[in-house]
Amino acid sequence: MSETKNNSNGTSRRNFLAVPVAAGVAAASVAAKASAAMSPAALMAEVGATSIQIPKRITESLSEAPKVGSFEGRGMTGAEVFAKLCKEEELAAMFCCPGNYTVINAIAAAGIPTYGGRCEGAMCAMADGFSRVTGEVTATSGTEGPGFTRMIMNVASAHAARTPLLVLASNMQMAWDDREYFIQTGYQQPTTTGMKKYGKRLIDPPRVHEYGAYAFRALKSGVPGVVHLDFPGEVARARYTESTKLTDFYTKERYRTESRAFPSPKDVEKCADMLTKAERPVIVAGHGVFHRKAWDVLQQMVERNEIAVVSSGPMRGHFPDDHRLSAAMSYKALMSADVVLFIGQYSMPSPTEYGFSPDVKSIRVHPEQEDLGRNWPLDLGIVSDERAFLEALDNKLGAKKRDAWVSEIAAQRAGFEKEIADIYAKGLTTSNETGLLHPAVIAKETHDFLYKGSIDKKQTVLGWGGWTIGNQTGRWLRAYRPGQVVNCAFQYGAIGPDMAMTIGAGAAVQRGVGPQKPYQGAPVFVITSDAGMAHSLFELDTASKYKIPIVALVYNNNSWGMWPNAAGSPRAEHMYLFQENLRYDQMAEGLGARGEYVLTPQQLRVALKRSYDIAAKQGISTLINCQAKKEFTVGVRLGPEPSVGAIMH
Amino acid sequence: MPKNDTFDQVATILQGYADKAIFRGYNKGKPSNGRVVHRLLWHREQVFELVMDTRRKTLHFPALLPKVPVKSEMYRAFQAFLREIASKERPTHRQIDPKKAKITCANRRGNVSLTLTVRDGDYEYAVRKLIALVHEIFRIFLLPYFDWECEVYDLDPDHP
Repeated sequence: MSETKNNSNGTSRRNFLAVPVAAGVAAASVAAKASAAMSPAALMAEVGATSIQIPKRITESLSEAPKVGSFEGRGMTGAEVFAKLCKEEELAAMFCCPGNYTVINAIAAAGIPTYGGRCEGAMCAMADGFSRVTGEVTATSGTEGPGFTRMIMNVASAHAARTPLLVLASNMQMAWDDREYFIQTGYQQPTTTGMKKYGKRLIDPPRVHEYGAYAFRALKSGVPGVVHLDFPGEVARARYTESTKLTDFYTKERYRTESRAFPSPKDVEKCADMLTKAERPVIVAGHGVFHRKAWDVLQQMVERNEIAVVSSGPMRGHFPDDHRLSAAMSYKALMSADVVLFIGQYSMPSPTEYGFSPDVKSIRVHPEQEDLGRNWPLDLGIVSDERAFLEALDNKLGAKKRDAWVSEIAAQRAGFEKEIADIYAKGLTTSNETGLLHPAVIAKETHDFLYKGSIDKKQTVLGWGGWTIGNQTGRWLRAYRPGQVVNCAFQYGAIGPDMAMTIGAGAAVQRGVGPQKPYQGAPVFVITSDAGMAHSLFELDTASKYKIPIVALVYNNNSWGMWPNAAGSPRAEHMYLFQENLRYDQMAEGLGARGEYVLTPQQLRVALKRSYDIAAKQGISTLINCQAKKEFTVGVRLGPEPSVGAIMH
Repeated sequence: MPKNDTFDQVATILQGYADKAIFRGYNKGKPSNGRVVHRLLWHREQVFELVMDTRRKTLHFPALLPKVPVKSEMYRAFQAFLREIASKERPTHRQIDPKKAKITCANRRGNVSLTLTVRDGDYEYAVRKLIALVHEIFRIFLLPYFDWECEVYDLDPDHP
């Protein structure tokens, strides 16, 4: 590829490469010359190769003034036209690896927060994580073939979570379609079939703005989802000095609407009647309640009418776990419910997956008619935007006391707390006997540190995943405010994106976006497995580079959590096992973060405090390697659904 | 109430649960000699037989939980679970009125059966309570026994 023309900053590629050479950096093309001029020791000292550091150019680059494209002068490239649209649509952030250069450079130049990392898959998960704790639209990008295909697991994960994620990739040229010319040929749109809300390969350069509008209309209307655009070079690099060359070049106020579906008054009345007559009503508040920022009206309504609430979805906290009406820890009480109202439940379970009575009456509110009745037969289906419905219902429902129901929820919550305390007690005994950390102990210690100590219990965003550790952790995590807990494995069940997803959430906290505003700059936590960590360990470099403080607890049981499936297959067992006692903590140190290696609850307690303090005060991340053994997997107890530890819906 | 009406009443209730997707499939049996066997496609896509016997006044799942040894922790826990169901500490709406119905279980060579004896002829009450109880067994009691489920139902743990 030839790219010798000046870019929008007037710097040619050759000049850009020449600057570091002049400064003495060992660019490959001039290495011999540079080493001839300097001794190896002097060269090492000059480049600072002996210590891990954030190069000055990263800091400088991040503080460069934004420059949104315009038709003036040399005009805008197709990429700049699209970047300008993204800026106007308030795209919250983009997470990428280099590739698709014209587009990512234009998006960075436009002033949109951008992050570059080590693997496209992990960067895609970061974009997803940022969105899961804010509800905002984010983007991810990579190069056409390999980079894009590395994203796939996390694109699918975002699709399952209905994340409004813009997947951008490409830099190939249509002129070379089908010819296997040079490298990286790939066909993108078929690859994302079944994992996107909308997708398009842009093939007509003048329509770049038009299709950008298609993308944001899909991202910001109705049920959120993944949108995938690929940008061939002819589209990204086309240049425009006037708007008449672009089709449908008009503003977002005209190409999409903020108008929402309002519920029929008859439906609201019928729903209010069913809830009023109910003795033990429950609302399952899914991620639509979070996306539509309807948590305030939800809480106001249920408090007046004493309706229990259990939240569901890939993020938690849109109904606080410590609220007296929260049934998130009262899963046994849900069997008593006589009416259940699902709202914003995008991933719809079957009645045999949720713990409601076979006789419960069911109502579901959803923005799209065609999804009502899917998987769960309904007594009443209502088409409506979630917030609009809750406001309408709030106006219709009167006050009601349900003391017996509230008492039953409280009693079952106490039962749940005893249940997990008993599991913890057994885990603690196991830890004491083995000198290794049982997953229940890791979960409980983290719980106590984040919610029972000196830290504001509403503060810390935490992501969680993994099989054995996830099963134990989910039931100990609490969400006291919107966007506090990220359920990384939600629905798709991916092993691996946890830490990257939580770094993305950390970027949102660092910037104080949406519900993260009151906790801007606070460290984030993730609890994941050794199997999962392998997928995103290198992103500790990314977290360190952008000073996003994360404390990552790794449950190190020397194996895939599914190792019991080797039972009866002795020749297969090796495939399930890793080397034992791997030092993920030392790997973290090699990536510019801190490492802690812990084997006992006491060591873990100290490590949590030390790691948090350093993260909070110095912005430095830590990986806490919690040594366990594979046998702790035995007796996995699935979390009930819906509840605090739910991962399916 | 004539017997056939009772059979129809129970079948209608069971069909209602199938219509609500509590069962993914339902096959209404034909009454014979005061007895009928309904087949329910239910938990983990397994077919469960529900035997209604009006002479014995029972609703009976002859094979509710397979491969549960009598002396196992799981069977003890199951018995305790049923005792808790009968407890007066349980909310009234979740109790089974002992004047109307009685729940018993048995274990024959590891095969756990569950029987509801109808004491007052109210089969509607009986079948609703029994289905609710079995649903609760599947949804709540079995939570800690995922490994057992994978083994006895031959499930892929990633896609149970």
